[in-house]
Amino acid sequence: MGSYNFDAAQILSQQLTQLEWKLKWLAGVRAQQRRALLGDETSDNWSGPKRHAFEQEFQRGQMALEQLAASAQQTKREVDKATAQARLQG
Amino acid sequence: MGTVSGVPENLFAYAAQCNSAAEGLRTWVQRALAPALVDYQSGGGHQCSALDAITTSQITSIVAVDQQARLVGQAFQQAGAVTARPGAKQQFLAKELDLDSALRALKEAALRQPQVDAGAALAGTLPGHPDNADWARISKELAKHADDPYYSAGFFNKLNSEQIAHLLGRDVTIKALVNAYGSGSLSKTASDHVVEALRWLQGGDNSPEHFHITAAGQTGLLKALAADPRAAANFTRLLSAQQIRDLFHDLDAALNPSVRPNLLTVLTIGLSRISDPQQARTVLDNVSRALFSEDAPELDTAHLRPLIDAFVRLYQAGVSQSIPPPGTSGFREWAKRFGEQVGEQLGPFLNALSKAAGDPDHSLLKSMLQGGYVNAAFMAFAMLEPEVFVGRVAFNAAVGAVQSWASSWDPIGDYMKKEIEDGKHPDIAKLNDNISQHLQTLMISMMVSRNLVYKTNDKDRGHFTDKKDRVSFTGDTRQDSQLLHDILASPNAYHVGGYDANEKYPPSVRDMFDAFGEPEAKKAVKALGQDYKFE
Repeated sequence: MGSYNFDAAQILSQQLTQLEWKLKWLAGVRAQQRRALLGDETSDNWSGPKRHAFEQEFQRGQMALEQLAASAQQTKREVDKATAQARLQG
Repeated sequence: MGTVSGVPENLFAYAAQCNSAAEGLRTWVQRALAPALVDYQSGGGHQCSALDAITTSQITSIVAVDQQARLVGQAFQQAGAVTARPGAKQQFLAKELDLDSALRALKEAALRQPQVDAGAALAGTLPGHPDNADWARISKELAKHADDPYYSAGFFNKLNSEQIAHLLGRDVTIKALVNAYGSGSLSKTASDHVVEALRWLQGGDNSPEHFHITAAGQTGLLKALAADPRAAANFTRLLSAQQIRDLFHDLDAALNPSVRPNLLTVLTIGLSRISDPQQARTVLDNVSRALFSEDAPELDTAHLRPLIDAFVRLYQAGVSQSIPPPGTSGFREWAKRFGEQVGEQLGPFLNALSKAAGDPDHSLLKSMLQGGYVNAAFMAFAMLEPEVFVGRVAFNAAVGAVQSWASSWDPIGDYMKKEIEDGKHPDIAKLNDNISQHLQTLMISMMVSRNLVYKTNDKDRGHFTDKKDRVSFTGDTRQDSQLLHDILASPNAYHVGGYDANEKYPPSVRDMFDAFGEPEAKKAVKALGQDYKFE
C-alpha cells in the first residue's frame, strides 16, 4: 500500500456525509409528493390494484434509500477511522 | 374487475418531481461521489463497498417505480372517462380491465423507443432543401421499415407539413403513415401536419409557399386510413372541430369528388372504434360544431344530398358509441339521460337536413332511401359489445337479432316512401321520431344482452324479478329476432330490472321507451326551432 492520501480521504468523508443527506432528502421528496399529490391508497387521486402495487414498491424503495443512507454513514465512519489510524502511523 | 379512479395531472406531477430529484442525485453520484471513491482507494485508502454503483442501481429502480405513476396517468387518459368536478383537476374513472389494456400498450410503446429513435434519425438526415435524390433516398429507406409502426411514428413525428406533403404521393409512405397512426405513437403535432398537408391539393390555393399534393395522394391516404380501424380511430381522435371544418370545406369537391365521402367514412370507422363514450361524444360534438353550428359554412341541398348516407352512418356510430352503458339499477334515469344525449347530438344534423330538404321533388329523401339508411342505422353495435359483462355468445346473438329484425322492417323507409308518394313536404321531426325508434331497439337489445330484461307475469308485477322469467338471446338468429319482435310489439309485457335494483317497481320496456323518447324529442325539437311540433 502506497502513502495515504489525506486530501482524498477528507473529500470522500465529506461526500459520504453529502450522500447520506441527499439519500434522506430524496426519500423526503418522495414521501412529501406522494402525500400531496397521490393522497392515501383509497384517494380519488389514484385508487385500485395498481395503486396498491405501487404502494408496496414505493415502501420498498423508501426502505432501500434508508439502508443506503445508513451504509453511507457507516462507510464515512470507516474512512474517518482509517484516516485517524494513518495519522497515528504517520 | 371494478372501477378505478385517477387524477392524471397529479400522477404526472408526482412522477416529474420525484424523477427530477432522483436524476439530480444520480448525476451527483457519477460526477462527485464516484471520482472521490476512486481517488481515496487509489490513494492508499481501504476498499469501500461500491456505494456509487449500488446507489445508481437503486435510483434506477426508484425512477422506474415513480415513472409507473406517469404511465398510469396516461392510461387513465386513454381508457377512462372524465367525471364532472367543476373547478377541480380532472378525475378519470376507468374499468380496471381497460386500464390494464391501456397500460400494456403504453409499456409496449416504451419498449419500442429504439425503433422510434431510429425513425426519428432517418427524418434527421433530410437536408434543409431536399432535392429529388434526397426524397428518393428517404422513401427507399422508409420502405424497408414501412411495416414497423413505431419506426414510422418516430419518422413522421419529426417531419413538418411541407415534408409530409412531399411524401404523400408515394404508396409506401402512405402505408408507413397509416401504420404510424395505428401504433398510437404518432404525436398530435405530427397529425396536425398531416391534416395541413391534406388540404394542399393541386389546383386549389396554388400558393407558391408550399408543396401541393395530388388528388390521388389525398384519396389514397383517406382510403388507407379507412381500411385500418385503429389508425382511423387515432386520426379521428386527434382532429379538432376547426380541423374538421377546414378539411371538409377546403377539400374541394370539384377537384376531388370522392374526398368528402371518404373523409366522413374515416370519421365513421374511427368513431366506431372509439370505446370511451366521453371521447366518442367529444368527436361527435366536434363534427356538429364544425359542420352544422350557426357559424358553420352552410351546406346547400346540392352539396348535402350526396353526403346524406355518409352523415347518417357517422351520426349513428357517434350516438351509439357515446352512450355510457347502464349499471344494475336506475334504468329510467339512464334512459332519460340517453334520450337527452341522443337528442342533443342528432339536433344539429336534423336541423341541417330540414334546411336542405325544402325541394318540391323530395330529392333529398330519395337520396336517403337509395343509401340503405336502415342498414346504416344498425352498423354501430358497440353498445352490445361489452364482452366482460355478457360474453361472446350473447353479443353475437344480439347482433344477429338486431340485423334480422332490421332487415324485416324498415319504418324510416316506409315512412319516406309514403311521404314521397303523397307529395307531402318532408317532416324532419317525424324522421327524428323514426331514428329514435331505431335507437330504442338498440337500447333494448343491449339490455337483453346484459340479462336485464324479464317477462312480466301477474305474480311478480310491480315486485322484484325472478330469474326464471329472464329473457335472453340464444345465438339462434331466428329465435332471437322473434324475441326482439315480441318485446317491441308488447313493451308492457316485459320489464327491466335485476335482483339488486334500487327501484321498487322495475320499469316496463314501455316505461323505458317513454323515459328515452320525451327528452330525446325535446332536445331534437329545440335544435330544429319553434316551428316543429311532435304529434
